[in-house]
Amino acid sequence: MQQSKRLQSYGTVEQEEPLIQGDHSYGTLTTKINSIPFVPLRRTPIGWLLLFSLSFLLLMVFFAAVTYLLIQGVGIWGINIPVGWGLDIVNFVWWIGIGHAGTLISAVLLLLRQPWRNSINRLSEAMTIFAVACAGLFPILHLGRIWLFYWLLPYPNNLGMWPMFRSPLTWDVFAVSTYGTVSLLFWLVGLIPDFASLRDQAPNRARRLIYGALALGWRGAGKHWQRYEMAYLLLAGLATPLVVSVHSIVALDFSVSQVPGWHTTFFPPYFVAGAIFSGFAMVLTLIIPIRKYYGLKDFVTDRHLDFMAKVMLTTGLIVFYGYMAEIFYAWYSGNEYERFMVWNRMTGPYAPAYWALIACNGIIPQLLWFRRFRSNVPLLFVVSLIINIGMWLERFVIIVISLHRDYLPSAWHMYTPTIWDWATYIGTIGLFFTLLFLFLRFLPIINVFEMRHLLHEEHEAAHRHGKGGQHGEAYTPTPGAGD
Amino acid sequence: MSEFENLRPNLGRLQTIGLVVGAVGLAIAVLGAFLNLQTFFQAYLFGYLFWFNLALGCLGLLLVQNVTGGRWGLLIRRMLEAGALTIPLLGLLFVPFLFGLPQLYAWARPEALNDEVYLTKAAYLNQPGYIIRAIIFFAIWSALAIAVTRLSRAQDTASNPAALSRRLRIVSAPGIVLYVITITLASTDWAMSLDFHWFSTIYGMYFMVSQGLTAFTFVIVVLAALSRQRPMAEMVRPPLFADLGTLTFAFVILWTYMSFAQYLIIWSANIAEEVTWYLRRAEGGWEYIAIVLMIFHFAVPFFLLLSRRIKRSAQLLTGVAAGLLIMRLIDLYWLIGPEFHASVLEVNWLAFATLAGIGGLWLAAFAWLLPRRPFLPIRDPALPMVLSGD
Amino acid sequence: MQDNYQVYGLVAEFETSDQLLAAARATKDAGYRKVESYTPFAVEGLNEALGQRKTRLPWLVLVGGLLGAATGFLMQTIASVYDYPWLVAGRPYFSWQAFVPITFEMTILLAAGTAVFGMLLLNHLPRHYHPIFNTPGFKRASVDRFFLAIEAADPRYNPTETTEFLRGLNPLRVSEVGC
Repeated sequence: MQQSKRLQSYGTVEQEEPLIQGDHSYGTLTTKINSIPFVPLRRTPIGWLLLFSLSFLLLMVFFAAVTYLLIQGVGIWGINIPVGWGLDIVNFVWWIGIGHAGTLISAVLLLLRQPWRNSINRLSEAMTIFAVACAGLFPILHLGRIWLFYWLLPYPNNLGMWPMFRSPLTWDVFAVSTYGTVSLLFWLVGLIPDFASLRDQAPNRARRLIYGALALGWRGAGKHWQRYEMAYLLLAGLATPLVVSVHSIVALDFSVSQVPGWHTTFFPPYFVAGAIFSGFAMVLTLIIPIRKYYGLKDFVTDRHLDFMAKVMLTTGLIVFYGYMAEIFYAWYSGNEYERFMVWNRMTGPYAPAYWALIACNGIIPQLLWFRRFRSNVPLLFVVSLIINIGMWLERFVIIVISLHRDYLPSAWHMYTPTIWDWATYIGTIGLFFTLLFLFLRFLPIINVFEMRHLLHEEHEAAHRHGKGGQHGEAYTPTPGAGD
Repeated sequence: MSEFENLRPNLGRLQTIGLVVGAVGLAIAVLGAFLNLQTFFQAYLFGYLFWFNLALGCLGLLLVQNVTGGRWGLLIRRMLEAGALTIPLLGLLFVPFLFGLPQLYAWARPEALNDEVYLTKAAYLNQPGYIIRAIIFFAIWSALAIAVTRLSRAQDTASNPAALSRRLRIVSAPGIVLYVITITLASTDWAMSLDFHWFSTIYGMYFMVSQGLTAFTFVIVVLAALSRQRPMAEMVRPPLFADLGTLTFAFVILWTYMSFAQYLIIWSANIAEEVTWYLRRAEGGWEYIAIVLMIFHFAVPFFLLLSRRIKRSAQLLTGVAAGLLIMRLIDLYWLIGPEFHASVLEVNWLAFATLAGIGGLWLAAFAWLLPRRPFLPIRDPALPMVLSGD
Repeated sequence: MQDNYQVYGLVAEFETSDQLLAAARATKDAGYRKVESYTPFAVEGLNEALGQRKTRLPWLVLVGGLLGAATGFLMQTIASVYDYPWLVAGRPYFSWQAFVPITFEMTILLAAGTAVFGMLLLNHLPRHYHPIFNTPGFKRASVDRFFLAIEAADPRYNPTETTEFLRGLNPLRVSEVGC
């Protein structure tokens, strides 16, 4: 031990910026975050009402599009032979990819003991659930006969049939439904202690009853916390491989086929990286305005944005590696169809989509190498929007460009999305934001109990470095205890 | 640093043993070359790639550690640096290949010119191109290894070590990009092109993960050996081993993920030009190797490394790591062996000779390089936190 | 006093987690066994200080996961090989390779379900009433106060002595709580 003490003196301790800014105690922190759902219904902010109404309007567009789809069938979309998968599958992959960042922030960063996750994990988990809800709708709508969707599930039936378990589309059913379920459980479990504090701070009886019921009688007992933390950790450990498996299975939907541009072995890791890339972009797109509007800069600091920008840069580079490897190995394969596929992407009728994709996902994210750009919040917001668009284009390029040139030129066909394709897409954006605004209004958008824990740890750390008790009146270090 | 003086004799012994084994192994290998030149080159490629993967894995992990700075990396950084610094030696040991390309690669033989598929990619797959690329690769890797170890060494005496940490980050981040590009191409040139009709886009990533896993398991074994004595014994505490164990676990899963993704996709599409690669590995005894890999490269380490008790114990974790190192050997043999011994599982004695020969020299170089600098990056700003352990 | 009034125990309220930790250690050393803490977040070392054992949850989850894997794999095998053999793309009926993804998903699904519902079950939640909620000021247990309760059912419990003992631990207040 003496040895290590001596070695300690060799280094100097670099003091990092705290993850909770401002002068906060457990009480002020809890009250601040809980105050958002406690705003009485009559005093709902007008800005929220406007944005919620707009989202709700878009949701109505979705219902209109689906109603017309039910009446007419999938013929209202632009899909044809050979482009049997159009915007519906593009949107499916786009949405589910966005969901992945939420799980990643919550689960992987918990396992990696990254304390900066605590202030953004609630929002990103919510984003996951809403995005998965949007994603899951598309394959079902794509079925045409939506009301028979339960045929996808394995259940003993009077037809004596089972799903085709050797098909990746059946894997998808399991992957997406498991993902939705586990994400929801993870989110709800994380909410229990916060429901308890909402219950205990509730300004009126109605809210106390509602939040009280949701809190399941949580009382913060030591033994309960122990099992709770263990369950949470195990969920994180399970969600991490799950999130990788889900987008890998989505990738397998394409890559186990024989379509040039789809059939390539690195699709699973490349899809996972792309999912994280787009998901972090979406988190940034959402959190930058939210933290400004609700004044949460103390909890979602610039350091958080910097971390997320770095993750985007890393995953963006993996995706870019994918584009380059695709080109190189298509050429290296010596296979004329593979080579044509790449050439057609670059110079064919959809070439603008391909080059826009390279610009959005390959070139522009390179700005994130520089701290100057990472710390420029408006620029970061713009970059995140561009990446969202770029990742949508990526799925369009993969799906549509690969399909529209079949092996035989006689089977070639162009694909043009119709107004109903776009209406369904915009409609799911409405669904996403409707759910998101409800969440922002009625639930604590930041994981309060984790933040209390984080505050505790930051006090401890400050105390260790001889700066104890600077963060507020609630903390008075006891000499001799702790450490 | 005098604290580490008592570790030197062991490393000195390792150096001597390594030199002797290396000399004997290579002498036997050269003897084998006179008996059968082609078998020699095949065995040499196998032996070479194992140690190459180890050294390049050290470089890759080192670059990642410099950028991310997890506590797992600080206590093993000097070992990774020593491993990465052996790259010039591996460059030297690469020279024999320049004289044996037609022995190894079908595309380097004159008959290839009658092969339609070869002609479409002859602009890339040709002997001058292969050699020029190899020279560029080794130049890049050596430069990276030397640059980051220099900076790390300079930190030991620097007045402002935080500034050097920053410079290490600035050099290492683009270094990772270079590493990824070069390993992708090198794995294509050296191993994938053994069957030049075949291609798989995940191959480069699979190679990188394999390198990372090889380096990790090796470092765990070395660290456990060094930490039997003071002063390392006091610094390397169970939480560190738990971290290394968790990362090994992650790499085992990544390896499985990459291997299975490639297999499932190729198996399912069942395209003639690709699936033959697996068909060769599914007969003549090779299929048993595949089963061994599934059990001992995935299932067994997976369940063992779930246990916190194993991960925290230096002894038990070393056992798992050593087992995994052996599995790395077997996996590598499964990767390239069937290209030489199609349809029948065969291991030539020369493979052991080259493995021991190159390995002996490599270990001697490692043992010589390791004690040439303090065993820990003593002025790294994060070190006190790691040692105080929280 | 009401007819059916029963004492649940004595509850001490503390301002910081460190004070609670010290109090928990002292309480355990004093020989109390039916002790529980109530905190706004999980305080490290508290379970050890109270002498609470590790949770069995990981084992339950392992069993849940293995059960999920077996269910997933057997379901696919039975359906594809025995109950509904259907030849597609020349792949064998027993295509274990293709069964891996769903087996994996089922493993995760059942393991995660076991983790969540196992946790709730072991914690006896949801629960609509618990005596501890009668503690004055307990609303701050979910915000910024730390509580330590010694139940009346503890063999060493003695209203006066235990109250004195708790007072000695430097709490903000000590309250007797009824059921």
